[in-house]
Amino acid sequence: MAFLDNASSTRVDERVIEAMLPYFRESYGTAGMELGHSRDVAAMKGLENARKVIAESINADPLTIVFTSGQTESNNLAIQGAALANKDHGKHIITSSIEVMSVLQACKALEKDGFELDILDVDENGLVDVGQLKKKIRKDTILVSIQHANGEIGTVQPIEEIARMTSARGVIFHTDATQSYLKIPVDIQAVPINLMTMDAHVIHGPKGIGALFVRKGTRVERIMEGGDEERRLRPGVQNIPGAVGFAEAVKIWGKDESDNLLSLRHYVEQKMSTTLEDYRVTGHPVKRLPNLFSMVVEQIEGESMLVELDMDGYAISTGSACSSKTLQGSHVLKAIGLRPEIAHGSVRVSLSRFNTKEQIDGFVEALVPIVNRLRQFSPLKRGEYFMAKSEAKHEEQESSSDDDQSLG
Amino acid sequence: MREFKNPQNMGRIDDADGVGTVGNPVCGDMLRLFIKVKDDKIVDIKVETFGCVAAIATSSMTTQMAMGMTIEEAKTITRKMVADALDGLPPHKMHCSNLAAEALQKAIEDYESKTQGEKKAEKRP
Repeated sequence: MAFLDNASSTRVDERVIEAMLPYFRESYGTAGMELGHSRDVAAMKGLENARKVIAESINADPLTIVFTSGQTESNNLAIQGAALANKDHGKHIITSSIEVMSVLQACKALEKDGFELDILDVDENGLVDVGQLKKKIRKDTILVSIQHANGEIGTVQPIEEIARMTSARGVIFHTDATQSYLKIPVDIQAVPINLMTMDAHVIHGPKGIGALFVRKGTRVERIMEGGDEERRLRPGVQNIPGAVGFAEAVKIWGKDESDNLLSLRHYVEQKMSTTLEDYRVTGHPVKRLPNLFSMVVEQIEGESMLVELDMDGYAISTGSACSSKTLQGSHVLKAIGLRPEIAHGSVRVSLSRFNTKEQIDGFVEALVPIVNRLRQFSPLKRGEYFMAKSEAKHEEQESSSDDDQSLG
Repeated sequence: MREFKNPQNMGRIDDADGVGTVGNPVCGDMLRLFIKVKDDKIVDIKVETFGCVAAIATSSMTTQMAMGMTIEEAKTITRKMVADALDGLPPHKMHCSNLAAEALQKAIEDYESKTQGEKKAEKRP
């Protein structure tokens, strides 16, 4: 079994599990008080050491790290918390069309509560236009939320440039760095980001633990009521084994890990280009996550590919509508302008330290005959993207931006 | 799963007597079904499918059910019959089975409209 779906989640490293175990078996106290009994003290030490490790990884002060249950909670706390704390200064929020659901839905929830929302378009590579963003900023803009890297197509946004621009205008900048964290280092002292989301489970840490960096002086209100934990921003007993595991995952992340992932991605790209026909790489050609390769394969549908590959022992993912319970295709692939039937052939390969060149060889060897077989009985022929009349009508209502018909 | 891995009757018939195309690429599935009719019986049937596992499996099952049936018999094939023959489908995948059955009905309509002049149309109300 080759797991090539590491942008969804990763295998927890054995060293992480080992580091966590004492916090289940021995140091299982809470970290509530400065002077508790010995089990509490040990638990608190573990938690605070973990906070230090996470802080150092982005060159921040430990006091600026708030532990959460992960990406979704960090994004909600950042967006809802910042909006509520700053609503007296304005009601305008800006985000992009390719954010994760927790960002988009948090923004939309605020819109229902009277905030005004602008959602920025991206170009065909998935990049936000900083010039356009600048124009959208108004006097009453309080928050901009743009992800660091996209989890479906891997495009990396110019967050340094955005942070400087928003900072100069006194607007809070939040970035969801879940997919890029450690893979693309961020120095919080050098880049004026106000709020940054991180998560452990995509870097070989456990699920259910993440963090939000909150710059000193950035006003955020808590969105859940309870005790005084996590500087009152996130009440509730902390997930201490999780935080310890998160920190261990950060500690063992190798200095050359990103470079290794990138050379393995290059290997995938080279292998694909010599064996597979009629596909197109999605995402920015250069500004892309080192571990993420995504493409759309013409004439076939992603879920069928996924299921066949799974039977052959390869785990990948797809943005095809068929693979989602709501039957909605990927909003990211739609945002970069792909025609729906082309977006259906989407395949994402996301790599980790546990993947090898041999696995990639096996994967590509398995993929080619599957693609050929499914193409044999596809009603879509190369360059033919017909639609029945009733469907064309439906299509007009569903989607307005189908400009990208040129496939290579 | 068996029907997906080894689907039957996949492909096209170039001189088909009836062709039915249904589907919507926005939701994921597109089917084109071809029938060849002799003495009011479906003597050959082929289908091209662009879609998920359920769409491919139901395409295969629908064609196997319709093969050899008379036109009148084939008209009675419903999506429920197809799904039942596959031992059920998840609720959100039911529309997939609908497509194959719908494509078959459209192919029959196409066949009947072509042969209208030759014999009395047997169109459903």
